[in-house]
Parts: sequence; structure tokens; C-alpha cells
Amino acid sequence: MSLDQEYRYRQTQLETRRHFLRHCTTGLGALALAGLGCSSPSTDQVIKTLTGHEDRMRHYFGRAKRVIYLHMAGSPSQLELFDYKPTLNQLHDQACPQSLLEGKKFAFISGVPKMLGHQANFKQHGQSGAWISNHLPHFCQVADDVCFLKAMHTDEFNHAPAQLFLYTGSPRLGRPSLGSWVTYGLGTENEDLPGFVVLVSGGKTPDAGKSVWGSGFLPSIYQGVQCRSQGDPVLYINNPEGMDRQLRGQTIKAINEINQKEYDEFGDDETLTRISQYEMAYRMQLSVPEVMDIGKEPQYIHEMYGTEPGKASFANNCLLARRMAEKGVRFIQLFHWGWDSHGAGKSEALNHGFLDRCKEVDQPMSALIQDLKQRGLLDETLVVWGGEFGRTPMMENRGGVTNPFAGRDHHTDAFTIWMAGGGIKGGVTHGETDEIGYYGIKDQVHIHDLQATMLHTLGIHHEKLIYPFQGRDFRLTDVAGKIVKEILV
Amino acid sequence: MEILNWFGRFHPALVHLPIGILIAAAICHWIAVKRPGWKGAAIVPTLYLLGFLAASVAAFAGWRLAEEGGYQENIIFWHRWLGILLVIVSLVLWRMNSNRTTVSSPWLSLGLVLGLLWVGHLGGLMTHGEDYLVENAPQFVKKLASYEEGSRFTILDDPDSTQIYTHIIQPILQKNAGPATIMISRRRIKYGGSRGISQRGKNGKVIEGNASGSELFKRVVMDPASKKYMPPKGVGLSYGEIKLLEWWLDGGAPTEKSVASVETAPAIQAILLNRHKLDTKPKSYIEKTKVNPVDEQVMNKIREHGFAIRQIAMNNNFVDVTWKDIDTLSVNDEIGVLEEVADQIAWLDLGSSNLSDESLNVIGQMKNLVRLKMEDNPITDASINDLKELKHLESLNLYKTKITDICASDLAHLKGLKKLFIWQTEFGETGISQLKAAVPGVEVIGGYTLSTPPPSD
Repeated sequence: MSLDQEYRYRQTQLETRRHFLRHCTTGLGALALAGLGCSSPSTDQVIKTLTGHEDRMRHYFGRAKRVIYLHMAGSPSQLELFDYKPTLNQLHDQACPQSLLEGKKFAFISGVPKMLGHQANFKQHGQSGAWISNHLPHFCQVADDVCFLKAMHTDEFNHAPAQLFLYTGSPRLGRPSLGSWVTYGLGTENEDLPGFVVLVSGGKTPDAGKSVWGSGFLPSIYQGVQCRSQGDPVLYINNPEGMDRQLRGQTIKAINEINQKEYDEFGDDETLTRISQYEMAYRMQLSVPEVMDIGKEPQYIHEMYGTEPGKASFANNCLLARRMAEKGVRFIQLFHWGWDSHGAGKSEALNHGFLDRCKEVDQPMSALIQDLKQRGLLDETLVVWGGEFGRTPMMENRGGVTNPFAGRDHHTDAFTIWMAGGGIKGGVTHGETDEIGYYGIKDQVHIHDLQATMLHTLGIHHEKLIYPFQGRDFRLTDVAGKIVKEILV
Repeated sequence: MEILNWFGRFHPALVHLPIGILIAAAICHWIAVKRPGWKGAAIVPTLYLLGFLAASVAAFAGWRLAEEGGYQENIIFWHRWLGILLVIVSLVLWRMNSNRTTVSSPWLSLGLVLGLLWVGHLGGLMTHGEDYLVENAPQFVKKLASYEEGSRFTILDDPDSTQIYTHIIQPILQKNAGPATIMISRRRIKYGGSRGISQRGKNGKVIEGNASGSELFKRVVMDPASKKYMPPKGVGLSYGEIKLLEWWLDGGAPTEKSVASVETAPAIQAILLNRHKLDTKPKSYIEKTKVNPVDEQVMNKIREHGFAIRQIAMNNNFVDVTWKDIDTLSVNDEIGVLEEVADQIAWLDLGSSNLSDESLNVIGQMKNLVRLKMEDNPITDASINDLKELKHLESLNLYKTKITDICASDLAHLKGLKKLFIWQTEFGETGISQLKAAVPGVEVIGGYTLSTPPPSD
């Protein structure tokens, strides 16, 4: 689409909406507020106007209705969790062959590092015989429910660009995130909750910041809403002291009337988004605290997940993810920070901090799979687990000096993620790395392939989920992306 | 007969002789008319006679060759009978000019030449393929002939109506491989009916029930430098074409089977999809079955009654219906509205909706239902009988309901059931055994535990 065509396209869009606004009897503000607290047909109409693409992007029959993405920010070592390579143990402490270093760029490794054997013990589990390390004793029990992609590879070797690449399809800022694309394509199933929710644990947000759940050039109604498992679930969601719900409603009504006049005058789509968000925030005052209250869960569920209500933890977030999946949230994104195991300090050592991270996630992520399964939700919920890249088979030697603790550098050529439910075969291992886990040698899957496959499970054709911007059509998978059909049910 | 059949193979060689002689005769005929007294006029009847004799021999050879079969019927019909007509015309022209004192009107000779060109073209179509003349022609010629670059592979729609040999294999042999391979394929066609498909050629079985034993396959994959390599000229078969040929031969070289009736390995599925846009991937019931679309007004009416309703996919009219749990509405009062779209509902989610037993008779009418969620509802064994007509139901979620082992006999009617969710119910081992005996392969999913004790509420 040329710039001129895009201009005309947008003008047409504006005219259509302006026409709707001017000719409806009560006006948009009234429509919006008339439905506050309950979902009236007129409110539906406003929402439909704003989420005009809803369901039009369901190109074919997709088994998944929603996604829960468990992102291990910092990138866990696949060589301590899933990618078992006995040869690597034999080569432990030997100098890395020059052939592995020539022409390679690493974040920290310089000179000739030493090979680092597994800092874990591996066993095969389940009927599928999946290799899983002793660091994930709970996860072994769901080995037959998940599909391992062992030859993942990416283009970026630093956290922020790699995270952006994973979630937006581009290592640079400005593109919409995966969750935004999905909600843009499929809309939301629950009008009282955001379609795209983000939960963060581990004490820090991911290196790429909030851009990994931003909406980029898509209308900002599609951006992720960050919820918290401690304190107010959404910042400033409660009424300020001295303001009751009625007064809050009147305030929003007044603001939306002003916004409506602004929209009539300037015709900016973002004004409609703002009106909708005020309305959504008002509804969320009731719906979000209810869904975020895990205290109502029975004790055996808390024991299953290892949750402690009131605390900010990955376990709590996993339980919240299940509750949101039940309520129809389309895309639930979890980030757990602290997996950057370089070995420069104890907290990032493979035999110290890394083990703590494993303990934090092992039980809850396994419980999440089982809980979704026993409730009949796993078949329609795609669960994805992974980091933004992998770790090297070599021990990191920052500045040419061996680190005080066992650690591995960033690695783009081979890493493991797993997927479960939502149209993905369980008990399958797809892809294979070489004898030391350095390169993928069979069935490699690129980040764009992963994105295309995830969209496919939702019934979206990744080449058709596009948005015209600055003179051309953009899509999540840019000009690439191949669906990994071998892992589909 | 064998020697006559063999003689037929000389048709391509013999056919050029009468063409040359008759064109020469026609040219001399015209000169003789335009230049009265031209001395060369005397040769005209002789040329027509020689042309007639050569054409007769070529036509006889052609007739024998055509008997071997394997040609497109409409083209061989016109090639055969137009050729014979030209033999007769050449005889007539000889008779008309046999009196050497006069020369007949030349217009019939013009018709003879045009006929020769057309018959020759039809022969070329059969041996070199229909787009032989235009595929390498200048753009303006392609445009005149309405030739599309992308038409190299036929786009096929439906695996049920696509014949493996006619639509996939034969075009490979005819278009891509050249005349020599066609001769092999023709032999198979000829003897395919009465003697089976294992006709022995000079160097072995031309077509065998498996690729490795077939002379045809050996020749297309052998060293291109070999004299026996097929095709003898031009580019060899592509990887996809060789794999399709191998698939066809391994499947017993069927001549009348459809693509849908045979197994296709993933590699073959990919090739068929890429070459012909033919999707042979096994499809679910929802993807295979067609229903009428739901009118938008009906959709809106259903929404007004408290349900969310969406089309399952853009090109699929089945719908996914979910109860929205609106405080002011009761699912048991509103569910009747779904009767209007009973045929179109494939997925129905009525979880945690306070659904009562009485409402299940409406659900029982949804004969195309594939996924039914009724968890966390006060449903009892009494209502499960209402579901017994749901033959296509694959997933039934009854967790946290009041069902017991008693309903196993009713669930046993659901022969398509693949998953049953029974966590937090009284449906125990007895019911599971009874169900699994009636519906083999059904997966019954109860509760799970990790390191925590089993749920007890």
C-alpha cells in the first residue's frame, strides 16, 4: 500500500466512524457510559467499532483460543535443563576448538574459553523418553504433555534486542508485540477484562522494557495491561480516597464527553481508544480484583502450585494465568527475571542462582499444565515456555578471564523451548543439536517460525495478519516464518 | 501383429515424407496455374501421387501407433481422421491433375497445406505437450495464446475428485519428461487392463508395483549421462516429480484411484500442496463438514440472549458459542434460542453457568457438536441420556458435576468421544472401565497431583 493509499484508507476509516458518531442518536460518550457496569448492546457496538478486526483474522480452524507465554527473562541454559549431550561432559574443562570460535560474536566470551560440561544430571522421563535434568523434578511428571523444540535459533545475542525480536519480530523498537497482534486479530473473549495481560516476577521487568508488551503502531487498545500479584492488581485501579463508584462514573462520563468532542473535531483513532480504555478501567474496578484474588482458591491448589497469596512470585502468576484463562483473557504473558547465568556472581551461577530460579518455576509451571489439563482448558490454551536465546556450551570467560562461578554466555544458534496444549502434540521432541549442543543440525526453528506456528494454532495465517503503516503492510513475521507442521495435532 | 505394432513406431519418422512431398506438390501446382506453359507443371500429378502413397503408409503406421493408446482422446481423434482425410484429398488432387494437359484449380491444394499444418500441430501437441510452442515464445505470442506463466502445475481443488494418474502422474510424464517416457507410459496403459501392470520391457518390468522394481523409475533416477536415462533430451524430472512418481509406483501404480483414497506421507503432502495447492492433510470433522452460514441477524439475536457466538473460521460456517455469565440472565431460560443454530454449533461452552438437567435436551439436538464444556454445573446422570445422538462429540467436559458411574452406559453411545473430563465427580473406575470397553481409545481425564495430596473437596 502506498502512502497515498494509506492516507485514503485512513480517511475512509475516519469518515465511517465519524458518520457513525454523528448519526447515532445518543452519541458515543452516552453509548459508552450507558453500558458501564454491564454489557449492553450499545456498549458492544462501541467495542466492536474499536476492535473492528475482531474475528476477521481467524483465517482457518485453530484449536487454541488463547495463549499463556511463560518467558524466562535472561534466557535459561538449555544445557542444564533439556539438551543432554554426553560428549560435552567428556570435553569438560578442555579448551574450545578454534573452529567453534572463528567468525563468531559473543556477548562476553573472548580469547579461547573452556568447554563446560553439564551442571546437572539428566534422565529420560515419560513414555516419550524426554531428557530432563534433575533441576526440574516436578516438570518430569508432565514430560508427555509437552513438545520440545530443541533446535531453536535467533538473530540477536543481547537480551533487549533478542526479546524485542521474539515478541515483535524486529530487534528495534516500535513494532507491536505478539500479544498485541493476537488481540488485534482475534479480539477479546471477555469484555470486562483486558485481552492482553502481563504478569512480571523475579524483581525486574525484562531488559527490553515494556515494549515487549507494547502495541507499536497498532491502536493502543491492543497493548498489554500489566497486573500485579501483590498490592493493587493494577496500579491506580481503586478509587482514590473520598471518591465513591458513582462519583468515579460521573467523572469518566464527563471526560468521555470531552473526548467525544475532540474526536468529532480531529478524528483521531486514539481518542476512541482512550474512551474505550476509560470504560474498560471502570469495568475492571470490579472484574480485575475478583480474578486477581487467588486467596479464594482451595488449599490443595495452593499446594499444587506452591503459591502464597499476597506475595509477588512466579507461582502466584501461574495460578493467576490459569484464572485468567478460565475468564477468557486472550493472551497472558508471564515474565520471570533472573536467568542470565553468566557465572560472574553467585546469583547468576549455574550451581547457585540458576538452581533457585529452577526451584521457583519447576513446580508452578508443571502445576499449571496439569491444572489446565484437568479442567479441560489445555486443549484450547497454548502454553509456551522459553527464553530469548540459549547459552553456550563453553564456560564464560569474561574479558579472557575465567569467571568465579560456572556460567555460560549468550548463544543464538541453539536453544530449547517447550510448548503444550492448544493444537500442539504432546510427548514430542522436534529438532536436534550437534554433539555438544552448539548448532541445530536437524529441524531448526527460527523465531519467525515460532511466531508463525503460534499464530497458526490460533487460526491466524501469519502472512495475512497485517497492518498498513508508513506506506507498507507490516506483519509479525516480517518477510519470513514457516509453520512447524510436524508438531501440530 | 507384432511386426505391425513395431511398424507403428515408425510413424513419427514416416510422417514427414508426405508432408514435404505434398507441400512441394501444392507449390508447383500454384506456379503452374500462375504461369501457364511452365514446364515444371508436368511434375504436379507425380508429386501428388507420391504424396498420396507416402501419406497412406504414414497413416497406416499412425493408425497402428494410436492403437497402443495413452494419447489424449480428443486430440488423437482429430489427428487420425484429419490425416486420413488428407490422404483422400491428395488422391483426389492427383486424379484432378492426372490429365497432364490441364491443371486444376489450386484452391484445394491450399486446403491440403493448411490441413497438413494443423494435423502436424496436433501430432506435436501429443508428443511435446500442449504448451510446447508457447512456453519459450516471446511475450506477445504468449499473450496472444493466453499462456499463463504460473500454469506450469495444475491447481487441484479436492483430493476426492483428483485422480492420481490422470491429474498428477500423466501430466508429469507428458509435460516434463518428453516422448521417450511417454512411450513407456503408453505401454503401461495398453497392457494395464488385461495383463496387469507388470509388462516386461526389453530391460525389465516397465511398471512394477513398487518403484525400486520399475524400469520407468530406474530410468528417471539413473545417471543422466547414461543412454537409458529418461528423458533422453531436455531437463530431467524434478525432485518433486520423482517423489510423486515413486509414491504412485509404490502404491501399485493405480490408474483409477483418487488422491483421497490412498495414504500420503508428509513429504508427499508437502509436494502436492506446493505443486498443486492440493491439501491432503487429514482433516477434522469440522474442516470436512459443510453447513449453511448463520445469518448475522440470528447471531445478534443469540448475543442478546447472553451468548457469545463466533464463526469458527472465515471459510467455515460452524460456530463457537459461549455463555457470557450475565447476572440478569439464566442460561436455562435462554438456551432455547440456540435451537435455531443447532446444526452449526461445533463448540459449546456452558461451564459454570448453573446449567440444569432440563437444558440438555436442547444440547442433544446439536448433532454436529464436537467440543462440549459443561463443567461446574449441577448436572446429574439423568440428563446424560439426552446427549446420546451426538455422534461427532470428541471432547466432553463434565468436571465438577454430579455425574456418577451410572451415566457410563449413556456415555457409551458417544462413539466419537476422545476425551472425557471427570475431575471432582463420582465417576470412578467402574464407569471408566465400562466406557472404555464401549468406546476404545477414549481418554478419561481425572485430577492430577504433583507433590501435593489429591484434591478432597
